[in-house]
Amino acid sequence: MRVMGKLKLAIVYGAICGGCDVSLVNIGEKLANVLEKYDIVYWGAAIDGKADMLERLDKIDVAIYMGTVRTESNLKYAKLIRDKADLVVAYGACAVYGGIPGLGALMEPEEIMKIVSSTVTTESKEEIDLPEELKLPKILPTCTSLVEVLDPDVMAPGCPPGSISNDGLLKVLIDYAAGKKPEGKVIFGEEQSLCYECPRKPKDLNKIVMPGIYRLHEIRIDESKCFLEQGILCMGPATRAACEMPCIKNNMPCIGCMGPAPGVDDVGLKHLSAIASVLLVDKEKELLEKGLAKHLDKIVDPLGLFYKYTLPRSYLTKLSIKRKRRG
Amino acid sequence: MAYQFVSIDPVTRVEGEVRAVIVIDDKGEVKDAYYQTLEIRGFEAFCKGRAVEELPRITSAVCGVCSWAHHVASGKTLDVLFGREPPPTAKKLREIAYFMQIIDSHLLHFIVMALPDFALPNAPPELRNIAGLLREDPKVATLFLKSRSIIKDIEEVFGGKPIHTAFVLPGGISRRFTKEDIEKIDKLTKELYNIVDYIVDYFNKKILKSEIFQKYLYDDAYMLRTYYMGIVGESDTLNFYDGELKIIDSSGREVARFDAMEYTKYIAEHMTNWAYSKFPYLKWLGWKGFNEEYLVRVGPLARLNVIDRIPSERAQEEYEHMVDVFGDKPIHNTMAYHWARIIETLHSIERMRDMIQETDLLSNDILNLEGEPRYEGVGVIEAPRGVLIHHYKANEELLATHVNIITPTTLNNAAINTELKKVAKKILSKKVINDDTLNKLEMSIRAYDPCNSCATHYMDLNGRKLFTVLIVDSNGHILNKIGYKSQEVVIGCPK
Repeated sequence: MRVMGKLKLAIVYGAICGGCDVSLVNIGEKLANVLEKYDIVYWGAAIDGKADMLERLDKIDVAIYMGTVRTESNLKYAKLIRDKADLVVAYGACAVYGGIPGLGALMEPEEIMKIVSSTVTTESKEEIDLPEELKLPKILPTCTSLVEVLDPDVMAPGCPPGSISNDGLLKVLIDYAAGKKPEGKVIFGEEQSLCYECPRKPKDLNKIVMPGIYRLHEIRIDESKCFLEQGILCMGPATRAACEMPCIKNNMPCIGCMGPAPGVDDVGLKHLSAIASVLLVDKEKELLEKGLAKHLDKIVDPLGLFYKYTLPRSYLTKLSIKRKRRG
Repeated sequence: MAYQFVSIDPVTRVEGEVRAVIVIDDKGEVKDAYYQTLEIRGFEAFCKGRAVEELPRITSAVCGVCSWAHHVASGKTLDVLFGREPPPTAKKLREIAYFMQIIDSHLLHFIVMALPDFALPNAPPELRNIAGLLREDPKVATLFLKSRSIIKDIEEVFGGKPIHTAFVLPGGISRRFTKEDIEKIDKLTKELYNIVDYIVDYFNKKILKSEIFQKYLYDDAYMLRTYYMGIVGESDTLNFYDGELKIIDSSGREVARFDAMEYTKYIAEHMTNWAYSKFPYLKWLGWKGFNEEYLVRVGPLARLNVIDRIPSERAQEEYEHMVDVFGDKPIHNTMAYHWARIIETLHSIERMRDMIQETDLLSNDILNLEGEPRYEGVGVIEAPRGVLIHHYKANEELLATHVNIITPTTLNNAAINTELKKVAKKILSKKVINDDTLNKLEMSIRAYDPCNSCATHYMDLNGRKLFTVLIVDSNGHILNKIGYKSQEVVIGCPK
């Protein structure tokens, strides 16, 4: 029963893993404060039939979107909430930047299906004539973030969002219920890169020297020293500080799930330039003899390393889409 | 012939975008049933070309509910690919962390998804959820909510992030554990033990013996006589982390036993154009469609069917009691999945409690960097929902050239479809369709615990269900609405 005066909150999925849901649930008791003010009118993945229910609603106050936009059905829901909702929240790395599934952004549907249907164990295939009711939602030519599709009011980065994003979201929801809509676009986290908060911070952030480049499996990582100073590529310099550094505390380098640091348009370009400027700067002779490129060869998968969570919003993807459109 | 399509869209309390469509002929008989996964992200495609050592933190995003299962399975795959055996301390810590994943997922499913169907059978639908439980049985519901924060705290000690963690490396784990870490886990584990203890007792006394649970437990429609597959540890004991794969037939006879690396000799997959999820089958039998006698099932019940013993005291007692009740193994009653989940939760907390006392957990030897890469690896683990297989091949630069991931929900896909049809035939044929009958369909699906129980958890706090029922004629006119509030199921006619 809808209680008078309560606001309408809808939670809508793109292509998801469920981690964002668990992160919301893990907020625990504080969630009750939100439920006092909001009626959750919709939650759950939706295809054809489900749109009817949302369509029948004249207005939604707040809509939270989780997941990447990969299929026509994901896209339909994204557009639907922009039409209906006063405040749209992009929740999680997938919605804000494309996330891990965004690594498929440069792949055409045919290519994805070709690979998926040719794994070593796929031995039997069947295609039948399907009535409309049984047809699957089509895969889009590329994979995008919600931000590329519409203009969300609030962005909660993270894979999944941690307590900084969650506390921020709770505050937005409570404020909104009190009649205070956020001014302009909101993105949770600090207005600086992770390095500024990192406990492994070297004495002088401007004097980091990388002794070469090593892959994760190649060395025993010191538990207190800056990753870059050990030759391990850490995404900290190009990543927004919006977590409590759980990975770094667990002796694993940052992989950028909070997205680009403020002022960084393209994480990969920013990071490459950062590395080029700190790599072996104390060994100019070696650099001159072997060349920087030789060392950079150790970056075997720049796309997966620099754009693990942000590929759909990279220049690379934008250029590729432009080129395809031109034919 | 004109057909009606009854579509439950979305099926609630399951992972991702899933729709159940029941096809009914003009005589009112159920002709077919489809459990359709509608989501595709293409992990096997975009993991190609990635640096293999990054895959544990990439593939964990296959599922946010059992992210630890993918993360650890991926790590095990890399151990093999790099030819590195993890040191004993690393292996133990991985195993303890992994028991936490089993408890996390099993409790979430039992309390939030399964329990309302049995504990509140007569409650109105808007109260058939955790909110209703809070009202009817506040102790069990409150203890469950408390368990969430304990579990999250333990997972944070192990992996930094509780979801999509940063924990395993090829040949070991990322960091040494301190005395404070172990003491913290020990203290939290003891608290969690008491909660699990209460929930096991609650299940045995209030649910297991209840008329409604007994009714579904022995209902023929909720029963499939299938093959079962699971990992068995030493002397065929229950082991989630490591062991051989064993397959038994529906009479309990062992028909296969193999090492993970050999899985392609035994498992193959069928693909259709009506679901993005595949349908694995036993290779030597071939794909025989949705035919009960050729299917294989995985998960808690399958595990308890393939093992001989549970290596922990109280769980073993419960297990013996369960087998006694049915008189024999294998147990084919799908609702016994719920029972098996409770026994496994008890086992996991018993093992955590004991293993955290072991003396070598503080060792500095947590990562093995030696070994000869073989450029191919298979890692198999018992995820909460059953056997999970990761298989990678790599080139000389250690970039992935082939990635194959078979998840437990995929392995159970054919069984879920088959049972859905069986239940639909029994409850929908020539019957009036209402919320109650549709919930009975969903109960069959829920027993398998397809991921994403979390979604329902949140919804249920607000006392809402997720779908509506509409009866639509062939012109799309709405003839009737069933249900209440925001509930929606579309019943349409073909063009």
